[in-house]
Amino acid sequence: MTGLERIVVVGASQAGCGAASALRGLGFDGEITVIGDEPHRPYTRPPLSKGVLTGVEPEHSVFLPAPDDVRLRTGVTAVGLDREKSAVELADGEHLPYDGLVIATGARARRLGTAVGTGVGNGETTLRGLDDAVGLRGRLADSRDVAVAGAGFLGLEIASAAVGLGKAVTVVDQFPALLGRLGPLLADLVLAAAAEHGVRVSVAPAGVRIDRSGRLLTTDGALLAEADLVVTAAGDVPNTEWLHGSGIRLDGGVVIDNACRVAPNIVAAGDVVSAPGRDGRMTRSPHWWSALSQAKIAAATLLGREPADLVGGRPPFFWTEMFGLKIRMAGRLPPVGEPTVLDGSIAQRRALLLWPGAGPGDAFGTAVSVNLPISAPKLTRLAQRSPAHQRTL
Amino acid sequence: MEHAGIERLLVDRNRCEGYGMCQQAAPDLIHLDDEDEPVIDVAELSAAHKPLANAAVRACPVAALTLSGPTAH
Ligand SMILES: Cc1cc2nc3c(=O)[nH]c(=O)nc-3n(C[C@H](O)[C@H](O)[C@H](O)COP(=O)(O)OP(=O)(O)OC[C@H]3O[C@@H](n4cnc5c(N)ncnc54)[C@H](O)[C@@H]3O)c2cc1C
Repeated sequence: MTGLERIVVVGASQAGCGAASALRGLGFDGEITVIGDEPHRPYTRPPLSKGVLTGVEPEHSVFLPAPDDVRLRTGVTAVGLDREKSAVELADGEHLPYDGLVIATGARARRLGTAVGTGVGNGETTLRGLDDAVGLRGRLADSRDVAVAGAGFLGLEIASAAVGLGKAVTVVDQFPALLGRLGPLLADLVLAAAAEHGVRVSVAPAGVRIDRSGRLLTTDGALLAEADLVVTAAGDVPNTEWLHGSGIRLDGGVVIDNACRVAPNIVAAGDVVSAPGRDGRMTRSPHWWSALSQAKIAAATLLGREPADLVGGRPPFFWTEMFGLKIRMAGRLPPVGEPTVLDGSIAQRRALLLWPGAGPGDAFGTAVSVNLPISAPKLTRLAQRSPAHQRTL
Repeated sequence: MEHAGIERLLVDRNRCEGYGMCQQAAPDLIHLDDEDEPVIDVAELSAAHKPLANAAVRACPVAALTLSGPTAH
């Protein structure tokens, strides 16, 4: 009906496999080829910085089922996109023709090591994939003092795992930990829990760098932490290099509209994308739920259907686990102002909190649960029922 | 298509944390009860259910949901 017979999905992870199964779910019965450059079959990443790192979850538990009726090609890298010929160029020179294309190449760990090609960046320890997690678990076992560069969710989850394994842990960031994402109340909650676990979290306003021998320094060269293992958790970089020269618009990531459209017959989803935010600026939201929901939107758009949701139309859901805190969040981040405590108490670190939307146009607020099990749908409904307070002009 | 056996969705109750992503992915196959415990509504999956069942398994952030059966490899 749409004239599409062959769909190629580049990237065999959450977004790519999600898009493939959504295409089948929508009744597409043509050929789907999913290519991924990792040697592994698709797996889920969130446990990599949690149970897999501490060893309580075996690494084989992360594997996902292959999408049904799909040609999955692992260990295959896309190196270019020829839009004139509608073909993806593979590393071995093969040209893979498509009628419809899903870009889902995700992101990789950002490195702080400066000099490319000197081997400095190469020695830097990061955590993005399954091999990284298994490697890091082994290196943790051999270390006593661990320093983490980056106090975002990933850095703090790694710190939490490391301190749980009995390591002395220091975390350093250029900015106050999690403040920009969680706001002061929740960020303080996490920092208090980190301190109780004996983790030192500090701020180096000028920024941090990793030197040739892998030590963690301030930008002006002062040693920040004595450590036999330094892990970089300094954010991620979207994998867009293979699209250079293709004419695909890149701005932080692959630019999509709110239906995940990139160009005619090309859609994108997941950590690789950049979408217009409320203020019109391009923003990335490299989280699990975004990958999942965008994959569905992208599949519908590619088939010429009206997607059930649009990007930004529903409160995003996010969760993290660290220092004995399980935090689930739906809606705008960071939440602004004071929350209403719907259940439990903040002091006891067991609470259900609700913030109204911050701006007059906000369709939803922020609902957060700390150590209270509540499903994503319930939390999302709470956030949706809490739009910004109406203001009269 | 081979029908060498019956496939089912299995929830690892120790692992499940009630995120409910499976329900969002496959509302025809799974729902959450009042306690946010997943309930499998379709015991034996037909071929037509497979894409949704796979989507549900893939949607679980803690990999608590699996497919049993001959073709789950
Ligand atoms: C350790 C860790 C913990 C996380 N924890 C959480 C969490 O608690 N909560 C949460 O919400 N989110 C979490 N996330 C984020 C979540 O995992 C990501 O948002 C999600 O994986 C994005 O899926 P994706 O498919 O878009 O990208 P990715 O998972 O990055 O997959 C992209 C795939 O494409 C492949 N690829 C790249 N370039 C090419 C190419 N040129 N050719 C072929 N293949 C290519 C990559 O190797 C990769 O396999 C975590 C991420 C990590 C790394």
